[in-house]
Amino acid sequence: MNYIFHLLIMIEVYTILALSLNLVVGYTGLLSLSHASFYGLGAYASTLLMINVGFNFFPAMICAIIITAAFSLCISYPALKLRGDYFAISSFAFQIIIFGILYNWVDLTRGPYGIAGIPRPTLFGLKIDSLQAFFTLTTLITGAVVFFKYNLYQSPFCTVLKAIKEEEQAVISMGKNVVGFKILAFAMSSGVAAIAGSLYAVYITYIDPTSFTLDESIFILTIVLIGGAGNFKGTIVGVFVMLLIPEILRFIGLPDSIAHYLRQIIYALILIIIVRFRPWGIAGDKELGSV
Amino acid sequence: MDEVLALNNVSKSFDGITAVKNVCISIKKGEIVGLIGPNGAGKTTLFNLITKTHQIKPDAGEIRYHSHKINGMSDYQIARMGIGRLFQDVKIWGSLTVMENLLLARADTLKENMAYRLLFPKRYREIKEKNTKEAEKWLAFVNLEEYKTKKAKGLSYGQQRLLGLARLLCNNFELLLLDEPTSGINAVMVQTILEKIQSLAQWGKTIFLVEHDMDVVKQITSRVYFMDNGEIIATGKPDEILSNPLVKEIYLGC
Repeated sequence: MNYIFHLLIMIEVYTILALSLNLVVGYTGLLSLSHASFYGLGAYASTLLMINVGFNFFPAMICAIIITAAFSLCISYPALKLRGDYFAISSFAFQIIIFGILYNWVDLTRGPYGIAGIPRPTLFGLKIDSLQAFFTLTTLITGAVVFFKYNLYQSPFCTVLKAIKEEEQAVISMGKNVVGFKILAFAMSSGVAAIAGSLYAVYITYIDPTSFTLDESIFILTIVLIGGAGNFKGTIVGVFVMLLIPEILRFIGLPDSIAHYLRQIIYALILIIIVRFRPWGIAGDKELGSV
Repeated sequence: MDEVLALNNVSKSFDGITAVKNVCISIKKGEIVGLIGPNGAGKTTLFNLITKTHQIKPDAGEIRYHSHKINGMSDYQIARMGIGRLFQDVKIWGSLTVMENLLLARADTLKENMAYRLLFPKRYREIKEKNTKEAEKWLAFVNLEEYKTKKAKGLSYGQQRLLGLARLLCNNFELLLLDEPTSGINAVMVQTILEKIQSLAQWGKTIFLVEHDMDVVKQITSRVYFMDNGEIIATGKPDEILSNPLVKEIYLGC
């Protein structure tokens, strides 16, 4: 039963991550390779605020959202004035830089040793330390994120993002500040990734930079593309597929060393099959998103 | 009459090749002015300079809209001043519905969101009603009401041009730059588009259009600029320009 709860909590964390990345990749059409860095920044920001400043989880998480969204401006403001591939390259560089900082700024982040003993959140004096209680908390927060994202995706803001993805010049010619829209979308996406980071940190109670690498960014991107970029239900389908299929390997009884590589092969196969036969994703919109 | 658009000695080169050279243009309110010339003459580049499309700006000279200098402003700010553009390739948002295409053109469409609805319910309703009413008005103007819930990419090429025009009108632009509004469209649809353009001028809109069809130029424009190799070679009434020996030789091949 604990295994199921653990899996559901991780599905919820990745649902938040994938929904947030979808705003940038799926709706705005920007290829971002730095989502794990925002996930990590959120995790570290809330952890450090809880441990060093003594914040409770919720104020720490809110501050982490703001800090991470502010960090996103470092990349989006200069990079979004450039076009297409330059943004992808800039986001790639940002991912590497953030990993480097988390890994090397030992005084603050404890570098490769990571930060252990992250306190569990408390809500109205109640400590959330059982798996069931934690599952309830993540479900509530994920529910709030899903509700927010669902409404956002239906809003004119997202319609403008879709229009930018399709014909950016026409959006500019209507007097809309396209760079401003992209910066805002990117900041919203990064801020929401910080929620996932904060939840992950207090759930695992230990973080180190290896959880927030380029591989992780690519994994989140793969979830979005496989499920269906620019699509709400597609993203959620992507999370289930990418997190549950490799779990099947556990029941085959393969040793961990083999299962790890097999998991990578499975991800690669899924991606190849999707790109070849269904480039708009498993549950995506054929017109909107393609890998 | 008010001068809506003025270009004074505007020049632009790309890697040493002159695309636009010392161009002077003046357009007054309510006029329909044509810009003609052979392919590669610099007509679309001139439009791009006015609207700062692809971030290109003049190397020399100035562009004024209602006496405000606009070269130096960013592309979207120029549009917000009141200059709308119909692109040669229309650039409709095909995955959005016809209605969404029009609503998106409205300046305050963004206020139609949940947060604004909760904070300012009355204002939200007013904006939503006004935007919908405006969009429906211009849909009726271009006879596309029956397609309003259809995806825009399902429209014919001519209908897409009409939608592009309606989108400009929905935004309430005052100066419309139309890049070949009738190209690739059947004769009946061309007449429809021309009638719409003429009605717009009667309502006080100012229109500057690039056109290759000389019948269209003769039918609707009051003045024409002839451009070749980046320079304005001749200007005057359509008949005068079309009978100009130089224009005949360079452009009309006779």
